[in-house]
Amino acid sequence: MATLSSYLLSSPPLCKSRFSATSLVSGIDFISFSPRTTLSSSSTVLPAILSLSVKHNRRRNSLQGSNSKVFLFLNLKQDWISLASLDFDFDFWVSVKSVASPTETISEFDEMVSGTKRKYYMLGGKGGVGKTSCAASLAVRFANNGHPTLVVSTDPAHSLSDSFAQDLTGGMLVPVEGPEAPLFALEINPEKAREEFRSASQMNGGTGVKDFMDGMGLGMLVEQLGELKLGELLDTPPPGLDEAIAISKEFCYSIIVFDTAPTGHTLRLLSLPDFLDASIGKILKLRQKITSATSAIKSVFGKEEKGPDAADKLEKLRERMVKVRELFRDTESTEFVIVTIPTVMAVSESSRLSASLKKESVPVKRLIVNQLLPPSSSDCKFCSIKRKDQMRALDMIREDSELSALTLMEAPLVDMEIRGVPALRFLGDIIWK
Amino acid sequence: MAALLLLNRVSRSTSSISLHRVAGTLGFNSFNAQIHGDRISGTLFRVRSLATLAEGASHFNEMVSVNQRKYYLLGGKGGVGKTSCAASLAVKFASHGHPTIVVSTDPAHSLSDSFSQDLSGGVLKPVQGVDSPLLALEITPEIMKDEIKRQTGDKSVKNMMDSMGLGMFAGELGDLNLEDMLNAASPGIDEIAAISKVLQFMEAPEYSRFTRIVFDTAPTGHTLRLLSLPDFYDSSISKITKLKKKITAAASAFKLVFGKKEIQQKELPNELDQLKERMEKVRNVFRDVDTTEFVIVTIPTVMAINESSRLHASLRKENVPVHRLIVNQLLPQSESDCKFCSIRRKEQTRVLGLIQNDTELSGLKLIQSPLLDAEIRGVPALKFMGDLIWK
Repeated sequence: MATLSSYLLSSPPLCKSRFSATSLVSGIDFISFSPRTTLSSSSTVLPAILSLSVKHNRRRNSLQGSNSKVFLFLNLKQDWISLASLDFDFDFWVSVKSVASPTETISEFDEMVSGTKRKYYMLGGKGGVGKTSCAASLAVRFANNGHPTLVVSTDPAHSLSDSFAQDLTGGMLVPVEGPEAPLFALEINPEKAREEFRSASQMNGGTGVKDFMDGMGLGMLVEQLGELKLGELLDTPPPGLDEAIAISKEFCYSIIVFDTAPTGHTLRLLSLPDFLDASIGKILKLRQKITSATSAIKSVFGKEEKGPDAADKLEKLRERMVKVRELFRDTESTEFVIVTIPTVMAVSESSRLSASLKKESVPVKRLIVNQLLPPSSSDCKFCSIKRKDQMRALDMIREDSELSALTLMEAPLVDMEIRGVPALRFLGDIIWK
Repeated sequence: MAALLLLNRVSRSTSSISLHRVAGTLGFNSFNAQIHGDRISGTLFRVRSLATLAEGASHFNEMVSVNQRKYYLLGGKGGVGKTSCAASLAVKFASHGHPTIVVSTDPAHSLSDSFSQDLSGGVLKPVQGVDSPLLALEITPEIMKDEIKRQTGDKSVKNMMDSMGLGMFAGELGDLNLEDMLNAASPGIDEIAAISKVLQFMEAPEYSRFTRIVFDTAPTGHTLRLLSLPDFYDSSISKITKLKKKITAAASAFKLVFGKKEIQQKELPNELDQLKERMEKVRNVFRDVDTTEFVIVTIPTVMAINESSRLHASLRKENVPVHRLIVNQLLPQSESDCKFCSIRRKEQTRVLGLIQNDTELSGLKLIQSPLLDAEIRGVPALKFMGDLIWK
């Protein structure tokens, strides 16, 4: 309280010195909300309370502004924005996009955090529906609840950096600043994943052919074949390998949240472990048969048998793939959350995704409908018609045989984007309750 | 004038339409209210977007002026309206006398939703309700993989060992297929198969008259991988060919040691070379400035703009021609904004400013596409949208 009050007092001078007249007005609005500092959010969502929540947003937004200043320059560099762009409205610093209210009265989040076993949450759905915001806000909420959390983005078009307003690129674990408990973020780097996969398969595949020829006593041919590396046939990782490698790493986190790629990619991800199991099996089989042939040749010549190289790495990789496949279907520790928006096309796509997941025995329990218009007593004509259309889409969900069985969570759309940890915390506290 | 006539025909109510331009944007409130309750061919008419071109010149004439075959790939962040833009562009091409094919390469197909017609099955289907020929195709990954595998033939290790005269080992190695791993392992194979298949279509006589091909691509992540796939395939096929040659040489040397009479070598089939040629052709199509254009679709949010910027950087790096950027889902002009829309419009205007300052995107022609209250579904709605976006 004291800290917040101090911040309130110091905020106006900062605004005056750095922002335009328009943002100065925003600052004044900010001051006018000071008396409401003691306002606390209620678990009961009523239209009036929601209206107050919007105002609450603005106060929270100011905190967001404070925290975001450090990262502004990273964004500038990343977006190639000139320094002249610094003359933004005060609102640039603040962005809260969604406020959510659950349709169920039971606290869903308690169920999600119960138990100490490691849990995996995969958020997927049609592109552009807010998967990254939902995944990031879920991770922030877990961390604030005392669970060390890792959030992983496997979409090749990464946007976790945008969501956290922090540079998370590089393919390594980066601590997210802001939450109280440990929260790390990781944007999988396809090149690094590819290197790891290639090194595991290449070491054995290439040696196999070379050993084969060497064992036949044809030393003069070895150098011709030395450059052959069967493993390189698998240079490019199959879709979803990034997820698999991320899962198989031994992280010391109790909760891992995956921000997956759009639906099409996820559908192919589901068949990955089976494919990899078969693929690695083939490599090992080839190697075994070549070894067998080598032994036969040597017995003809009576040569001393040369011990074959161990295939430890490939075996280990294969075991990890089997583990991943089992994990995908473990109803106790894994859950897939579908995110969608209230349009006919998005709901249709979510229905297909749910059907595919069911076919693959992947546990799905929750459906988030994002970007719903919030309740309002003074709709303009545009919002009125749009709301009507969204209600029709919601009815479509309730009647759909695939989606009606899922727990429905509604996430209304607010005027600005969710970016930065404070905004994500706010969103998470309201969606995941 | 043409647009006005079309609007009148679509609405079937010529007297009640009142349209006028405000700051370059068509006023739509009254029109929308008028048509909202109408039914056309049993389908409730939905209009989701109106468009206004930032530049005064008519760019669509440039797109339809030549009879040479052209390819348009529409890509961008997921959920920004790529399918609606691709479908409306295809409808507009068809209406202007260009027989058109629209292909969806996104594994999560939505062309069927956009046209309100079942287009699944992996075969070309005529779209109903369009004046000129318009065919649509949703590529099915499994079918395409089988086709490619069949075309590369059975290149098992068994054949290699047989040619070495080591018959006693053939049985043990017979069931290994290196090419299976190659075919199954490649991400983005769907897109390559789709584009390659369409290129094959174009060589057939019955499809020679189709002069416009529109691709509705997968979200950005897939596109980024798609760009590097032809190079990967080129490298992989070279490795397989190399392996064959070296094993053949080893077999010859082996026979010399034993003094056996050399077995006549069966000439190895060259299906792999054909596959390589097809990949080469696809790669060339991507980078041909005269016949190919990639259109980026986005929405006015910071995250979407950032992603579009990264996409354009990747496309430029791969020498793929990009000229246009569509910003979809902009709030339309209104005199009676509620507070929510007012703040949202302000935010969208700020994001448009970001585009102007972005080094990647500022060089593209900007097309603004406002958001309306209902979804674009069905050919009449797509026609309406196309007439307003692509002008």
